Amino acid sequence: MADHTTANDTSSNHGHGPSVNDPHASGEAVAPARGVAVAADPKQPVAFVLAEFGTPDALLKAAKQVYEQGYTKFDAHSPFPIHGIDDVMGIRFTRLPWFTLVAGGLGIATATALIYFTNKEWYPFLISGKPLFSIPSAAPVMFELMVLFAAITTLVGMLLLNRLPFFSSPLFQSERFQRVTNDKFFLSIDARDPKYKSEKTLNFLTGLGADFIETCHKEVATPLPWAFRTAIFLGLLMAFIPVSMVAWKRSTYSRNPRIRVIFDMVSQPKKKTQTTSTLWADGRAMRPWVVGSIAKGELKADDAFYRGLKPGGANQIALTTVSFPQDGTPAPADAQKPADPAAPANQTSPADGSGPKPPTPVAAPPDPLDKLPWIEDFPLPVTSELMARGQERYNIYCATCHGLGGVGNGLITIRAMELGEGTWVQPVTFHSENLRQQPIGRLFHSISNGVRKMPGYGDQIPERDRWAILLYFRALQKSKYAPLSDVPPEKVNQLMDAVP
Amino acid sequence: MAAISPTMLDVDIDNTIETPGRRSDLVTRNSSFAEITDSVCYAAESPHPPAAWYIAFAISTSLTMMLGLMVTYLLFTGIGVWGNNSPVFWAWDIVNFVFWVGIGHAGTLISAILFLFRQNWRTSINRAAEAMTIFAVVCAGMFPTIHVGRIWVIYYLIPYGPNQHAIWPQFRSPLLWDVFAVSTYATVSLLFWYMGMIPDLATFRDRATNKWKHMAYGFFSLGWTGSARHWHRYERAYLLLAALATPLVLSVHTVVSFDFATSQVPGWHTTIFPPYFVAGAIFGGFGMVVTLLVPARALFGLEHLITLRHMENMNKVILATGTIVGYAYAMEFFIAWYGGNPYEQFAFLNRMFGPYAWAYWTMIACNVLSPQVFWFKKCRTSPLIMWIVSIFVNIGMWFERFVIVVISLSRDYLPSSWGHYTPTWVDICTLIGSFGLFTTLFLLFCRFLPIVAMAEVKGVVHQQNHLKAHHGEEHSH
Repeated sequence: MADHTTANDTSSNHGHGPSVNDPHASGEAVAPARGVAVAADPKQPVAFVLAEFGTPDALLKAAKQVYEQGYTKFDAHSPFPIHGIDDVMGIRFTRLPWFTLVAGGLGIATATALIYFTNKEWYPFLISGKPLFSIPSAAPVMFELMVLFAAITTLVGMLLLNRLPFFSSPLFQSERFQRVTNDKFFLSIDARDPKYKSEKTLNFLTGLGADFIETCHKEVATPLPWAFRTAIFLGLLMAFIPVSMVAWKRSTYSRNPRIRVIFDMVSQPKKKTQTTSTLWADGRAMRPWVVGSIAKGELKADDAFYRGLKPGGANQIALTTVSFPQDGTPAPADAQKPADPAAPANQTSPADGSGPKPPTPVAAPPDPLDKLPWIEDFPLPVTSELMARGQERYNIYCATCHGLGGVGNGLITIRAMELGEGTWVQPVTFHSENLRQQPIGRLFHSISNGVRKMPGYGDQIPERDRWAILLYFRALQKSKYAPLSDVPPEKVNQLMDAVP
Repeated sequence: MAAISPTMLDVDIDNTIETPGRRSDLVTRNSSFAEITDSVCYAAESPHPPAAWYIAFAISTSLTMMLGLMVTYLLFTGIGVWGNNSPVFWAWDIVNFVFWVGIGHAGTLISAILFLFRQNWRTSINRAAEAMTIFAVVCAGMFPTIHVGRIWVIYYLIPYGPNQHAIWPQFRSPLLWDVFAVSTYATVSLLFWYMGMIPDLATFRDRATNKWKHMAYGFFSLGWTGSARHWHRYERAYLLLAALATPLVLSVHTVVSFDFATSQVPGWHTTIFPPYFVAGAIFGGFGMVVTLLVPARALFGLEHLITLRHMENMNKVILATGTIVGYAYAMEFFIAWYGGNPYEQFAFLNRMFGPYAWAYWTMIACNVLSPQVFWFKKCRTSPLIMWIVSIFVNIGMWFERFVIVVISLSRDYLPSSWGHYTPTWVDICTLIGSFGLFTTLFLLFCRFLPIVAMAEVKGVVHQQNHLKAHHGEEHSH
């Protein structure tokens, strides 16, 4: 294995047949090493002289001599790069690394510009107070684009500098040359070389110890068949169709809805509210309720539980939703246009200083709600569980404004008073005579539908919890006026301890 | 073993023996250049591949078709067909993504980093390893793509010019860095692979027996003539690409680890992630190279080119990186304790003893314990043992990603937000199908493209012969 005779070993079953040896060639070639073959059409002028060598070292030596003889348009061909051949052939160092360097810089610049303009100029979007553009967060993309640009440029630059792809070299005429990618080594001299003289060059190559010498001739250009040319032309033409369609659509307006190739959730095969339909006479997609029908769970027939009114009498609901113009009663001056007719906003109270001054401190204009048959007792069993529930709910929903003790000193109220909010009305205390006398049903109505500035809580607090809150409300009221005799004897001491 | 003569051509050398003072043979048969060409081309030129190839191809294409069905079902129905839930929004899809993208790293490491370090032994295995990289990145890229659900708007990820929405991607997000990192990695790996193949494709072109093959290989070999002037620029370009791919491969898994490390989830928010991910990726990637090459070299008769010494070297890399990964596991655990963050401490205790403890211990057994057999030369040089261990490594590395992604997400800060993840049959079939896709591509590669970089091996053999000549080893001749 030490010498390279094995490289000469033509163990490959592939390669050259005697047919390659063209008898005509002998007239042209001069004393070949082992024979001269002529590939392709010998009538064409010679393009290359090709010499075959068995080993890389033989090629290296030959290339060195060819270079020293002053040839410039020549080349060595080998299945793998032979180290040292660059020097003996006088190959100058490639410019390729400069291309790579420039492309890498361009990649960094592109990434920086891309991030800067998209994230800082065109679409500034603040995230966690981070700067809109900063080097650390841009670094990964800058690095990636640098590598991407540099790598693509390196490959493309290598190919361009090598003038590849180039599919029709005259060298490919030689059947022997097929082994240049396998195990043989070749030297080609271009006929355009100033030093090229057919006989002299052939003699010279023979003297270099080539195993085989042949000439490759200029190729007669065979134009593509017309069918191919037409197909390529039509193909190119058709390639413009989608591009121009897109350009046309982008530059014009259309009244038609967008064509949806894929249906996202925004377009569902159903009719939505407030849309039209040809299915029904009224042209609406929405169907009104059938008159007199009540949705499941919406009957709420128990007047006492759901509305705080004594049972009986037709359509008690209408009683609580009575509105003033219908009643014919003039609206009081302080009733500022109630937003919801279900929540008449003028229950009078001593704290309400507006409106015409009445002779008595209690209630001036008649309130239509006063006339309603409010219930006086809780419409559900009163238990300590209900009381506990009421306390919990009260502290969640009511105490923020009314205060934990119900005197109207909740945190929000305190803050609003500190700020001097002109629009804020302090909630009335629960311990006024008026509120202590009010029937429980009426209070239920106030929680459900609101009173004065207080909004209705009917949508947020279920009926049972409203009653629970009212139970706790009554307990709060009781706490301010209870005599000591009401306290169980075993708790009295505890109570006394609490007094400072 | 110095006494080699042409009469001993068929006797394979045992190149796993260390001889002080001289380099081992990279090719174990006294191969001529033509013999190398013939061996490598045999897989593509033999009229029929081995029966095992057909069986493997039938299985893997069936699995690929299953993958196609799963993806179609997913896209037409929605992500709900997977087991992903709240809080485990990232589950097997991201686990599979990180797993596959990690696999790719071994290929680039062999082709680029070992090239820069002048490790000539890489020449026999770099082509197959690079091919594996490309196919693994194909599988990896698929998972985040289908994970978005509405795949038809995935172009939102790309900052593209005619922007009707006037919104742009957010470059402070590591997920967008990932888009750039993985797509750059895929592109550069493909370029590197293709460029390395041009001379070998020219070999295929010159040996093509029918017109179509000649045209196809001729087209892709770009008219390569092996010119010394071309080789000069080619080698320079190869070096440049290797120099570019080396930091790139380190950056890719670093950026993937940023997806996790820049978040605040306990178990993710650690600075050890980038080096730990890169080491794990190389570890898992070499595992996959061994898994593929042990059968491939036997199937296509390439044992004298992809020698036992190559396999042994890779097993050494597996042992080294596996131990690094083990160190990273220990260090993560130590920092969780040392850092004194109760959530971090809980996250790691939960990994070891929580509901997914089996996954954690599978990971430890496969990644840390199983490669330890490679301390023994007998195990490093036994194809069967190394194949079994490499399978364990693959399993272990998949579980590592499962442990990191799913366990950390399923239990973060608030116990009220905890959840549990169970894969659906679609999850399982998609994972299996991705292996089918990977294997299909690799089998096609083995059949139609040069498995070994012939030109590079010939160059190395030539150098080796030169060295021997200078050492006067031809006395026996």
